[in-house]
Amino acid sequence: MLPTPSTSHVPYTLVYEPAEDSFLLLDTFSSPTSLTFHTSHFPPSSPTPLVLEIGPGSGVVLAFLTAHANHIFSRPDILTLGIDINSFACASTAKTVSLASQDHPTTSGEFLSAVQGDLTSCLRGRQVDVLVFNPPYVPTEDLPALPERLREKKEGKVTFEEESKLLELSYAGGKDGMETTDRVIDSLGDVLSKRGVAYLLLCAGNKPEAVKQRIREMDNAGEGRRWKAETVGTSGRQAGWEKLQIVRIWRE
Amino acid sequence: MVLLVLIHFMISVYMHHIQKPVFFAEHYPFSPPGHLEKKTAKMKLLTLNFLTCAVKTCKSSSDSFPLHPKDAELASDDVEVNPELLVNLLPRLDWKALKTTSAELGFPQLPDSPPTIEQLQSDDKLLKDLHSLLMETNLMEGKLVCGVCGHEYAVREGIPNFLLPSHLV
Repeated sequence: MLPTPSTSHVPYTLVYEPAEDSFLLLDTFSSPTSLTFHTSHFPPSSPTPLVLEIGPGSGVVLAFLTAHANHIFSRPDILTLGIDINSFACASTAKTVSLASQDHPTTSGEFLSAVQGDLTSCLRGRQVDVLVFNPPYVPTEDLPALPERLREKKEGKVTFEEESKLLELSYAGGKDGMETTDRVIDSLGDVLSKRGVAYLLLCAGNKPEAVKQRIREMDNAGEGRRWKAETVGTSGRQAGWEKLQIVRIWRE
Repeated sequence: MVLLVLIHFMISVYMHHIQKPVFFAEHYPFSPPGHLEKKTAKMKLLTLNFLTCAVKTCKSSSDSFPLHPKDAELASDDVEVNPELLVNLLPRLDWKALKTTSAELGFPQLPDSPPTIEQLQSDDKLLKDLHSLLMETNLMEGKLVCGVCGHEYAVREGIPNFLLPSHLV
């Protein structure tokens, strides 16, 4: 078992606390089948893979991927990057990753930075080799917006209302819990490199079978390859349905 | 007398406070000073090779990449040299953009084309210089400016902010 990064420094009133979904990602990435896939997909001495997590929150998953790079990707020479809309999550991620890397210097990749941003809007096209997204997946009536004051570096104390808004942003997904996830799915062709792979966490309420089907039917700009979407990790069966699952998306 | 001591004390505390663990590009040697305070969040210079302006209409113009650092305060890290990482990193770097970024921060001029793997493996100084630039140099404070729309993205305490004001979204 690869050790879980410490997140004891993270302010959980402002940043999503690692939970079942985060741990499902850790389990999925530690599995032998995942290692086999990554070893053949990113063979040693192929160009350094860039790993991006959108919405890393506490940073527990990104720290895990960075610190245990050699166990997960069978090579320590990877670059990792986090993009989160919440500035407190960015600071937390930077610290979580840097602590975990220090603990595992011989297996760790290189962490680039934690960027405050809206999904992948600040990225240069087609650079990401591994994209990880544990989205706000809970179906809700409305999609929350970041309070205007928190778009800039906060001055003064964060109010109780702002705190609940920040946490709401981490779970509330709008219609079918898919409003934010759909934006990421639609951008995959522009964000992923040719060999790029995305890992997306879905809950039963997201209608995962329909989501996977939609991805398989996405256009690939005449590149002659097709989108693949397969479930590679599951947790918490409820009445025969997977409560949560991780879907791997790539082109072949 | 007590008052004087107190004032002196307050000034020294203040001075200490404003001595940020940063230094400017023109003083930047390829061997980082060892006394720098460890800040947790930092933005590796290499990150700039992957970022562009967040304004949709800027993306189609080649001038939106790379972003231009302004009033940059840099800090240096001690990172162990990993030749394999650099060798595998080279083919995926946008060298022209790196050369621009590095020149704008006042680093010694990079050659026009990237070194070959053989050059990198045989030239220890080149390897160390590149390692220093890509892996050890961090942007802590300053702005990143888009060459198309002129929007300035702030970098504070090692975290760049790419959220646009509502009217630009």
